[in-house]
Amino acid sequence: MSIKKVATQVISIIAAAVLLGLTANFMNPNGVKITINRSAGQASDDALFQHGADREMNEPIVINKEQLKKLLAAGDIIIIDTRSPQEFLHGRIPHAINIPFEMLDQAIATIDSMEKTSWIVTYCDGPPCDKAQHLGAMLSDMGFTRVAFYDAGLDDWKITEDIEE
Amino acid sequence: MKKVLLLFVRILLGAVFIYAGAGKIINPSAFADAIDNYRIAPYLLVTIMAIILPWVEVIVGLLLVLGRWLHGSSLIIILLNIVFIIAMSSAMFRGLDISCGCFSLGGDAARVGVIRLLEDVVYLLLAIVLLRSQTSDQVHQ
Repeated sequence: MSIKKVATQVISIIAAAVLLGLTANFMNPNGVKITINRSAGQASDDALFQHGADREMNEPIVINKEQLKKLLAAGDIIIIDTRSPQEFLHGRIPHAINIPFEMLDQAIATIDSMEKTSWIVTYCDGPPCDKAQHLGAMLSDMGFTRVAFYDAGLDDWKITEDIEE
Repeated sequence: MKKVLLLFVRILLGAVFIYAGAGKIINPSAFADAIDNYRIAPYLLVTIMAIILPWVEVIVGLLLVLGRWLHGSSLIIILLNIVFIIAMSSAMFRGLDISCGCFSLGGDAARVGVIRLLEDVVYLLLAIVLLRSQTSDQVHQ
């Protein structure tokens, strides 16, 4: 077979893959956003699972759904839902506890009882909600060293995962 | 006998690549994370690879199983495995303990290591055998 025919096959296969890949990614809720950089502060898996265990962080890192699922599977994680109690009761990420951002004063005892080195993940509904980000920053200021912020929030979680009611 | 062996190699290699690609197609963002952990490519390239590479794997796997376009699909598998071997060797050399992103992408995903590296070398050799057999068949014809 001539080199030209082999090259045609290779190019056709790659072209088909590009077409199918872009179409499938566009329709997939777990699709990848084509971007030059990770979203600001987005953690790599290394930060979470390799160096993270020994690293003290001064500010919360941003994690995505897959990383949250990995943290959940690894255990030893506290998930904080920062929405209102009514919203929390209506549906939440499994194993989450509720610390409404507006009712932080009443949750000081709960926060004090947490291990400073445990992984703590905060979330709310997702953009434009920023309560989880603010609580994450406050927890970091209070000396918690492994704080993560699931910025896509419950709106993103419930696309593919079960919620607890 | 040789033809039966080549058929077996073709179907085996095809099935491996269909299986490898299918898992990544379902969850491209997890695959993007797996590629990004190698820390050898800019994030833009990582996202493009995460979207396209699984489909390349599935298409070449299907072509091998169906016995169509064997030159092109074998050549792509050779090139892919060379890239995989370089990436994995580089990660091992740098002491990275990361999931290899080969098949499963979940918490139980296999880590980069010698066994995975040898697996890729085997796939590379099988693809070379397939490509050579196609070429020699045509010379005889």
